[in-house]
Order: sequence, then structure tokens, then C-alpha cells
Amino acid sequence: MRRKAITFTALGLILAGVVVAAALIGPGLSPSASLRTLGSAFSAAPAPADGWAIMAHRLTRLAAALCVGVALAMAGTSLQALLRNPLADPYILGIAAGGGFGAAVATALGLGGGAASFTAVNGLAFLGALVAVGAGLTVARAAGILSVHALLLAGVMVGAFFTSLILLVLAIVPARDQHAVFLWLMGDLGSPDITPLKVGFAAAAVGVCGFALVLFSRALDLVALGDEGAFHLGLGVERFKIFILVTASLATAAAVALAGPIGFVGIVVPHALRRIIGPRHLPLLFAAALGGAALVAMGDTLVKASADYFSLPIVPVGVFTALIGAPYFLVLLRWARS
Amino acid sequence: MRHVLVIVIFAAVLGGGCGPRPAPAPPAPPGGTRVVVDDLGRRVAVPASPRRIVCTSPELTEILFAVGAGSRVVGVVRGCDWPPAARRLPLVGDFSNVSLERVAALSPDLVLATGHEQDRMLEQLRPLGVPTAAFMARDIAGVRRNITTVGALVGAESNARGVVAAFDAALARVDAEVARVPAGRRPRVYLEISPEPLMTVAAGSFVHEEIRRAGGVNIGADLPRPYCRIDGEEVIARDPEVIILCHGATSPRALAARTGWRGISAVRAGRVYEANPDLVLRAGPRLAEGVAQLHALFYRRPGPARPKT
Amino acid sequence: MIRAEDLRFSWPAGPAVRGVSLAVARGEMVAVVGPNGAGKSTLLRLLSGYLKPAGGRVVLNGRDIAAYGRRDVARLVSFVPQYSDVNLPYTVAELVALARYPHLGPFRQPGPADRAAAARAMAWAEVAALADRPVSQLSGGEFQRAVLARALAAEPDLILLDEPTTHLDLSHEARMFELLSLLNRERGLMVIAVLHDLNFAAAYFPRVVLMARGEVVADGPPAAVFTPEVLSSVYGCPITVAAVGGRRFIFPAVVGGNRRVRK
Repeated sequence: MRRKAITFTALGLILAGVVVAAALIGPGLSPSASLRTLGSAFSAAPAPADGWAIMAHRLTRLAAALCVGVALAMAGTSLQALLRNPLADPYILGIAAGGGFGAAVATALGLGGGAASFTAVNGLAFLGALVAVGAGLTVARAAGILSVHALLLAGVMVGAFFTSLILLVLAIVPARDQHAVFLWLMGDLGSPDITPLKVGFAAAAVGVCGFALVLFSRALDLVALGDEGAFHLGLGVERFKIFILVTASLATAAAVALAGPIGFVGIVVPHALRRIIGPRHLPLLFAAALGGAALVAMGDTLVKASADYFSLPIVPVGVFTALIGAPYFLVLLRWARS
Repeated sequence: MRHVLVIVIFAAVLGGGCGPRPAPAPPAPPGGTRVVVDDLGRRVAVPASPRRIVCTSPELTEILFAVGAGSRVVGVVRGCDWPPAARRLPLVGDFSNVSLERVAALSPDLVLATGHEQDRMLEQLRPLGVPTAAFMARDIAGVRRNITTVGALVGAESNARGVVAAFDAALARVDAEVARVPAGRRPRVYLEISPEPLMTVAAGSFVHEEIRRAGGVNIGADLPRPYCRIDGEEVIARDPEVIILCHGATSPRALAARTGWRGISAVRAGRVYEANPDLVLRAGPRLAEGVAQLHALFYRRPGPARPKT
Repeated sequence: MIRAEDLRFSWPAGPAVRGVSLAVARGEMVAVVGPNGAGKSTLLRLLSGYLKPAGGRVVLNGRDIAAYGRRDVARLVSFVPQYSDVNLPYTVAELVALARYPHLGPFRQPGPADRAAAARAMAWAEVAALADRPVSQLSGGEFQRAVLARALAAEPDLILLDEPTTHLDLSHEARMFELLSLLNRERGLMVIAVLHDLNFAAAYFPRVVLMARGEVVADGPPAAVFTPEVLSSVYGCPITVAAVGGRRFIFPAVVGGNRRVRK
């Protein structure tokens, strides 16, 4: 019990710290200027020129990062339970590949940066992700009952299919578009096309999905007993599996549509936290949400800081989530064992 | 039975794995050869009067046609779309990846390239035994040099001189207008070459030179690489007075909708324009037109500025 | 209370249950025995509703089991499998608490009644001392008792067990059957257990059902069913039945003399 309390407090503090850092760090406005800008909302002192414009950009980016982190971590948690594999990741059903294909098509058709608030790239990426999941589900069901085995195989097949489609698109578009698609596939939170409206849509989707997962957290606990065990305790296993798949996929698709597939978060955060908090999904889902949000926001802040202070070229977010996440995970592993 | 199948598959794989055998060296061209040093530092023996040229670069294709050697071009890569006659030529691939068979089928006596990220392609072409020369322009002076060099290669020196003269004259007209603008009144310019990810140009790129020549001040001049990603925040902070979209994927209206960009001077004043990437981003003879277009956009009379909200 | 009417079921490998009819009333304690492949486990899963019969039906409390909601069946019937696989490190207490799901549903949190039921079940199965141990750290026998506690915590009317004593040593095996008998007598818990050990079946179960090749061969008190003639024909080898101290003992006829290895 104490361990849980400590962990939640720690996670909360880390998240708070990361949020503050993300708000203050960025190439356009120094930390002190950022502070003054934020302060001007509460006092009569004027904000520095362009302060609020930059802050709007920065805070939208932060909101997107938090949204993506929550979505991936919670989706990863529930899929690890469903697939009875503590190393499953939310892209296991080909969502990243489907989303990537949607984004590639949009880029190839020159639809990026549309006038409407829901950019074609994001929209098609979302659609692509959902199509991938739908295809996977259909294939798995055709094979009989929705066994974990069938799901995994279907996911691999769908993922491979869409990946090859991405490669096809890459082969026929000019080099400039190839570069754009390739970089999208590495994940990017810094695009100024991420407007508050888009983040709002994504957050709504993630919020609904997260709420649904938490609501059914006790049923998620049952899934760990296997199909037969869960059935005998009264769980409608087939229906529940589809429900979890759809919910987790929706959340993941929203994250992928917003910022491209950011890796590592969906596997490591649930896995690491499960060792500390324990396998019960009610506290685990909340902890994963906090941890995922913190990790992605931290990674994105590092992207900004490294570009600004060290003149590094802008690095994809996924690089930093892995660089932070791996040692973070190892430290937690050692602490959890003691 | 299964063993036989394995052996057959094995043999097919082995047999198919043998690459194309190097073609026998083509006979010595009439008129003999000359040795030139290309921009990769290689000494290449090119025919004195090439008749069948395969060109793997849009800008070099434009130069060839501009100096009147268009009839000698027998193959191009994707993207060689100027002049319109070039579009009818057979395609051998795209600028980083060509098909050996297609090139061989055209029996060229010279292959031209830029050498920029084309190492693999140059390796691919080696077995053909056809002379391959690479010429790359890194700045405006380099473009002039390319026109002269390529002109000399095809024996069209006088045409080349004419093209260079027209090129210089066009640039001189812009220079004269720019000279009339005091240094402090030149607009800050943000030229976007890609929206996703956001990319612009910095010192070291010929596009940066174009901006300067056209009378603008490139806000991205000090970025670490000639073609560099830039954070949206930085664009807001550096507050350009003119924004040039050079990729066709975003409209000025969509750009104004980007988070936090509404307050940028260029957006408020309505000075967000689209430029033709084929003129501005291609280091060929039409670059002078590109500079002129940029100049016109930088100094176009702006509409009434919207108040900063 | 639970009735099987002419059940039929086939696995891809072949028919497993061919026309089994069976009725078990309240308060009964029944052992299902027979050689490997007789269809015992399949029958048990048909009775629990996990498998859908290809022919015939299962009637629970007068209604077709297929007409029940999932949780309604789970409130009445519990299942203890032979191999249980829990791949997450739940503690024993958490595992047993999961069993209250049929009563609570996905949304309600456990209350004092649920905690009491769980505590009682753990006490009966003698795993109360292991409450905070993760299941991955239990021995085979301890885990099996935890699974039994889980089944009992649901407070079912009927408990189905599939070879529940596989990992238990002799004393724990005896204690499990003592517990089941006690619950059967004092709380009216119905028990249907698939057993491989005929002696324990004979000792603790007032009724045994002998199955072979998917059919019920005999059904009645052990004295009537466990005769040398019936057993020998079903198991395909000579069986001795001896009475020692009022207890029935069943054993292959000759130890060490039944087979010859061909040279």
C-alpha cells in the first residue's frame, strides 16, 4: 500500500515537473521570458512581444504530448492484459502501419496542411489505423474464436500488408515526399499544424477510451486467468476482447493520427509500472496514464532543448522516449526487486 | 521429391544471384575523347562530341536544352520536366535510382549527373562502361560554371555564353533594384521548403544566396545545416515580414491557421506568397527567373495590415 | 438441479461425448471416472457451459443453460480446472477476490460481504497464510489450493472440478476431499469431480459415474460400479478389487507381471 502511495506521488511530481519544463523550454522564448508571459495572465505586467503566440504553440504541443502519452500507455496496458503478454505494444495489430499508410497517401496526394482544422494527413492516418484494426479483427474472427494467437497473427499480417503499401507509395513519390513520410513515421509533435482543435478531438477520443478502460478494469483483471478461467467467472470473453481491442485501438489511432507512431511508451510504461504497482488494473491504468504522459512530454522537451541548446538537428521524439525510457526502466527494475 | 525441390530452388537462387555481367566496353567514339575533371574530382574520358546523352538531373537537362543540345538527350530521369520537350523523353529511373537495363538500352555515350546523393546510382552504372560525369552547383556562381562546362562538353560554347549572358543580365536587373533599397529596409524572409517537417534554408545553400540576391534577409541564415528543420516557435520568434511557400502543399490561408502563427508580421500583413519551386529550388538556368520572382514577391506592395489581436 | 440430456460433442480429432444423459440433484456428490480419452473433461466443460454441445442440451435449475446470462451461470456454478495459468503476479488474496466478479459485475467494488466470502474460502482451502504471496511464487499444490479457494469464494451451488488433486501430496489430497465432503454435508454444496484415482473416488463419493469412449457405462454407488468385471472391461486390463478394513481398494491385478517386452 505504501509502495503504491509513494509511486503515485512520485509520478505526480515527475509529471508536474515535466509540464513546467515543457512550458518554459523552447527555442523561441527563454525560460525567464516564458515565465513572464505566463505571469502576465495573472498580473498587470505585459507579456514579451510574441510571448502568447509562442506560448500558444508550446502549450498546444505539450497538450498533444500528454494526450499521446496517456493514449499509448493505457492502450499498451490493456493490450498486454488482453494478449496475455507483458511485452505487447499498442501497434501490435498493425495500427502504426495503417496510420503510416494513411499519412503516406495524404502526403503523396499533396493533401498535407489542409485549410480545414482536421488536416488530411491526420484524418487519413486515423482512418488508416482503424482500417488496419478492422481488417485484423475480421481476419482473426474468420479463423474461428477470437484467440490471442489468431489476433497476433492477424496483426502481423495486416501490419506487413500496410507496411508494403507504405513502401509502394514511397517508391513512387518524389524524394521530397519520401522524406516527409519517413520523418512522419518516426513521430513528430512539433508540427505547427497541430492545432488546439485537433488536440481537442484527440483528447476527447482518448478521454472516452481511457474512461472505458478504467470502468472495465476489473474485467481486465479477469482476462489474466485465461479464456476458460475468465469465462467461468462470468466474463463474456469474446465480446470483451473485441471491446478492449476497439477501445485500445481507437486511443492508439488517435495518438498516431496526431503525432505519428511514437515507440517504446506503450510497452515499457505499463510493464515497468506493473512491477511496482502490481497487476491490478484499476491502479495500474491510472499510473500508466501518468507515466506515459510524463515520458512523452519529457521526450519532446528534450527534443526542443537539444535543438536549442546544443544545436542538434531536430531529433524524432521516439529517440528520446527510448533513451529516457530504457534506463528509467532498468532503475525501476532494480528498485522493484529490492 | 522434396530433396529435388530444394536443389532446384537453390540452383535458381544461385543462378539468379549472378548480377548482370559487365557490358563490353563500347567502341571508341568518333572524334576521340577528352579528359575532364568532374565536380567529384574524377578524371573522366568523355567523347569529344557526345551524341547520345542520358541525363539524371533536372537542372542539367534544362542546361542541355538551353544550350541547344536537347536533340542529343536520349534519356532522362523522373522530374526532368523542362522544357516540355524533355517530358517526352524515355525515363530511366529517378535521380537516385536508375535502371541499368533501361540506360543500356539507349546505348548512351555519356551520362551526366549532379553527384549529390547519387553514389549508389553511379556505382550502379559502372558496369556499363559508359563515361559518367558529375557536375553540381552549390551556389549561383556554380550554376554559371555548370552552364559553361556543359556547353563546352557538347561543343556548344557560343550558345552557352549566350545563356550565361542572359542569366547574368536577368540577375543584374534584380541587383540594380535591390541596390536602391537601403540595407535596413530589406524584409526579413522565411522561405519554407517543406511543411511536414518544417524546413527552411540556411547559409551554405544556393537558395539562401537567392534570397539575399533578391533583397531579402533570410531568418534561417544561422541554422546549423544548409537545409534544416526549424521549430515553429523559432519562426514566430524571428517574426519574418515575408513568408515564401516553396512546396505547394500548404496554402497561405492554411499557414495562417497554424497555432500561434497568426501574429507573425508576414501573416498579419498578408505577405504570404507561393513561389514556383522549379524556379527557386532548381540550380539551373531558370534560377535567374527564380530570383526575379522572389524579388517581386519580397517587394510587392502589401495590403492594409490587420491589427495585432 | 443440473441435467445433461443426450449430450453430443466432437473435437476435430473425433467424437468425445456420444449421447450422455445424466442428472445430478441438490446435495449430491458425484465422481466421474474412466480411462484417458473417455470424454470426462469434455463432459465437465459441457456442464459448465464453456463448450456448446453439438447435440442435446444441459438444463440448469430447469432452464437450458444456453438461456442463462454468463454471470448468472457463474453465480451458480464454479469450475476448478486441472491446469490453471495465471501469467500476472496477482497475490493469492487478489486472485481469490476476482471470484466475486459474478456477483459484483464490472462496476461495483467489493464490499464487506465479498471480503468475508473470500476470507472464508481461503480459510477452507488452507491458503489464508499465503494471502499476500504472488501466485508465481507458490508451489504446484499451494497454487491448486488457491484455485480451489477462488472457486469457493464465488459461493456457488455447484462446483465442478477437473482432476483437482494432480499436484497435491497425499495429506493435502485427503484434506481437499474432506473439505468437499464437509461443504457438501453442511452447506449443501453440489460437487461433480473428474478423478483419475478410483480409490479416492470410492472413499469420498457416494456416487460414481464411469465413462468410457464418450458414453456412460455405469452410474451408481461405488460398490455397484467398481466391480472387477466392469472395471477390467473398461480399463482393458485385469483389475483387482479388495476390501480392507471396510474400505474398497482398486488395483491392477498383477504388479510387474502384466507386460512382456518383446526381444
